[in-house]
Amino acid sequence: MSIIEVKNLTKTYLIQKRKPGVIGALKGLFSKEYTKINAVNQVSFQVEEGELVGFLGPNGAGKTTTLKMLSGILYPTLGTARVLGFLPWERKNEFRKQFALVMGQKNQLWWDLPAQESLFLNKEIYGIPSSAYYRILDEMVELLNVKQLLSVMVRELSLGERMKMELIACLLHSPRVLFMDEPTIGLDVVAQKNIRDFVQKYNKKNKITILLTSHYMNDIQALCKRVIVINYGQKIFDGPLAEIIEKFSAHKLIKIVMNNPKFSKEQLSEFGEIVEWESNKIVLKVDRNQIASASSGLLNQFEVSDITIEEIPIEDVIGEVFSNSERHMKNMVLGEAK
Amino acid sequence: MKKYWAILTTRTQEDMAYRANYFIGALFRFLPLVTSIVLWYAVFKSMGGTHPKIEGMSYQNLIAYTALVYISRGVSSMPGMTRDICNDIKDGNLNRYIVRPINYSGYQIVYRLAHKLVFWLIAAVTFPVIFFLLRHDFTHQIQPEEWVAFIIALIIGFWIGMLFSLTIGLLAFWFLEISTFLYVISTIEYFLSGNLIPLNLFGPKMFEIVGKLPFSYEAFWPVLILLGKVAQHQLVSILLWGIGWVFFFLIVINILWFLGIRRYSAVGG
Amino acid sequence: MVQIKQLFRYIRVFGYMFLNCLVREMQFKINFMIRLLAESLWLFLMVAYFLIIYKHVHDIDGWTKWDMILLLGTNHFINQIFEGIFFENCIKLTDNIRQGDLDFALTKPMNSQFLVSVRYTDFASIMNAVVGLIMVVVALHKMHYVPTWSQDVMYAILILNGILIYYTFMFSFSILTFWMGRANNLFDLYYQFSTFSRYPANIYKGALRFILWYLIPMLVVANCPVDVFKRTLSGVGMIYGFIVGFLFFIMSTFFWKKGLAHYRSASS
Repeated sequence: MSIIEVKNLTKTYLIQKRKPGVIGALKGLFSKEYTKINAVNQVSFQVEEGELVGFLGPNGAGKTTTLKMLSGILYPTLGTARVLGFLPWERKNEFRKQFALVMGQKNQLWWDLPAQESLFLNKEIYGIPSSAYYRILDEMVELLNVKQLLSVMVRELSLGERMKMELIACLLHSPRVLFMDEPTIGLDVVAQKNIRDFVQKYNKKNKITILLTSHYMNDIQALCKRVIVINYGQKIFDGPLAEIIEKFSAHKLIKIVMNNPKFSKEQLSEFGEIVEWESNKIVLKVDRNQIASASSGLLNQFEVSDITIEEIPIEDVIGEVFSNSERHMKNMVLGEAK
Repeated sequence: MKKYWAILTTRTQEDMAYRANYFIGALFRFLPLVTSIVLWYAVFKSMGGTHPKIEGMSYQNLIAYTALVYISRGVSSMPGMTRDICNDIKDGNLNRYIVRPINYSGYQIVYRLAHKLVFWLIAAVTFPVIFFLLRHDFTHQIQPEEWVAFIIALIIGFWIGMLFSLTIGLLAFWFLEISTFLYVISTIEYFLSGNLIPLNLFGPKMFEIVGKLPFSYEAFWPVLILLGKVAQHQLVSILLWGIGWVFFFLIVINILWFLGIRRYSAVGG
Repeated sequence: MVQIKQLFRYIRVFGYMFLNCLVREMQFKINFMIRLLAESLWLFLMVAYFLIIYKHVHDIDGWTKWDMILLLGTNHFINQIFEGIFFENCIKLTDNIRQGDLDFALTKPMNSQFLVSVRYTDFASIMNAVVGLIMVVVALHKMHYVPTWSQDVMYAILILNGILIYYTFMFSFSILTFWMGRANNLFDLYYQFSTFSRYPANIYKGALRFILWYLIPMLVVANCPVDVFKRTLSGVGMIYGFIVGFLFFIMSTFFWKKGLAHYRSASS
């Protein structure tokens, strides 16, 4: 059995509509109109023990909602999920002792007290024996290099330092499954890298299963072999990161450097879309199937001093995937309306 | 004028959006009235005698007083106003108002008026019901001049409530952590305005003092006038004294604002 | 055995949060001291209120001045203990429900209702409860009354019931946020209903008494414990008093479970 099993998980929200102005407010007194929104729509996947899976999707795609259902915070409208063999939303204590949730935008530490007080409170809440507690704490403090910060008021910590403390608070009870929702949001580049390195090391060392959402491709690229892409609540991809490019990118880039300026836009655009144009350096976006013919054609027709063929950067591919699926979804919604 | 209208409508919408919350609040506001009626009933029953009176107040008078106090208090109370002003000063929100072409005190007053507007819209439904239920306790035939004096006293009460809140709020220029102080002040204000118990029941000596304080106009005087307990020759002097308090607060606010804003910009918010 | 171990864990967590709050509060010393005084102010005003009334009357429906002070003190004690432990948490709970900040309480391996109900302790209120207790002692002394051991125990248990009634009342209002979006005005209801409990039960008559005794048992809160000392509590009344607080508490857990199904966990 997989450690996380998700089947047709769906969450539907009713959103209240209100018309603007005083009249709208008055009307709202007597009748309310609702729209249905599928935040998560029929999502299924499985995760094996020790995997580190990235969740990708634009804002409002349903990543966080999925994580919250798997943490037992939200009840699904339809479908089911098992984490460590438990139904998360039953919120059994045996389940809750074995997983943890880290949220970059929410804070569980006591604001007006040193972080160590919150950590100790978690020791009591999770019933961690003292010996284990101090061993794990020392280890984590070492890894994250925050020993001297334990006695500093949380409100005086930087965002990055606070996130490190949050991580410690979440990992004290050695969870087997860890959900991370935007753990690096708002952090500077160095802090992001620190957190990333820590997650990588911790995952390797402890064989913990991690599900991670992030806006930053760097996080996903560095940490996750496997990614799940969701948009508009639906899963649109599940597999190794590299496959996203093969699957979704119909194009490659041909970069050429010309020997002389004897060429025109019209001539070049016959081979593909011009992406960049800078005196004698040109980048063309060319259909995958026509790479061979295009490159030989270019070499024949112009005096080329250098030519390289590259994949489109992953951010752009993902961006393209999202905008494509957006179009796709819009068509679907329109289709339903008819 | 248009910008003040915008404040007014936004505030009203805010209130409307949470309708259930608001209506329940308006309805149950009268719960303490029930307790007062029950208590006064028990008190007068225990006193015995045919027509017992406390300091010239009969049972009916006291019930009518307790009900009518809701009107004067509804006009003069400014819930949350002092706190909002303090927060504006403390968090540096004041800068927003200083740079905009809008008078801060004016903004606060219009904002509260909006709140009052919704309150009175709902009160227009709930108050008549309460007064109808208690109609037998309104024994006094109100004279025209008493109506006039009542309205004037209400207006005085409104301004004293408003200006006193503003005065206390502006103290935040000098004292940073005053939330507890605000609680103390508002509790004392509540008691000395005659909300809980008519001020003349305090006994003649105490009444001599508390009846002269500005708080007495926020609840006590308007109601007492309506009960016909104020002699005609006293009406004018009582109203003039109240108007005096209004001017007193206007002057104090101007001084506080003048000094406070200098201090504010000197410290840098 | 397991249950007892669990219980100790809950007590330890509570104790630790209690200490955290104390440390937190100590940082703001001056405010703490003023608050200590401020919370008693209302009590003193209530005493003044009754002293004014008792200037004109010997007793109210059989309740003398010192009876009344006994009741006020008891009610103040119950009130302040409730406010000290639960009140701030109930207020914060509505914000947390609206802003989606229950997430951490829900993922912890402990009863989530416990975690959201006792997180913040307000020390000024706890200290002020002592003022209520002093009033009770003074009133008993003035009445030349020496309670027996069993009376003390019954008084204590009934006070606990009173606290649970207030708690359920307030907690249920907070939880309404799950359905209504905002419930701040409802908090006024707590203040308005709790005024009922500081008056003698026997001045309420008829339907009102029925409602306040059985449906919204505000009269049970402070009157039941005081009746122990006044020896006016009937056997049935006593048993009812014991049960009602417990029943109310069960109700609160039921509402909490229902409400959580509506939790949306909004992101900031």
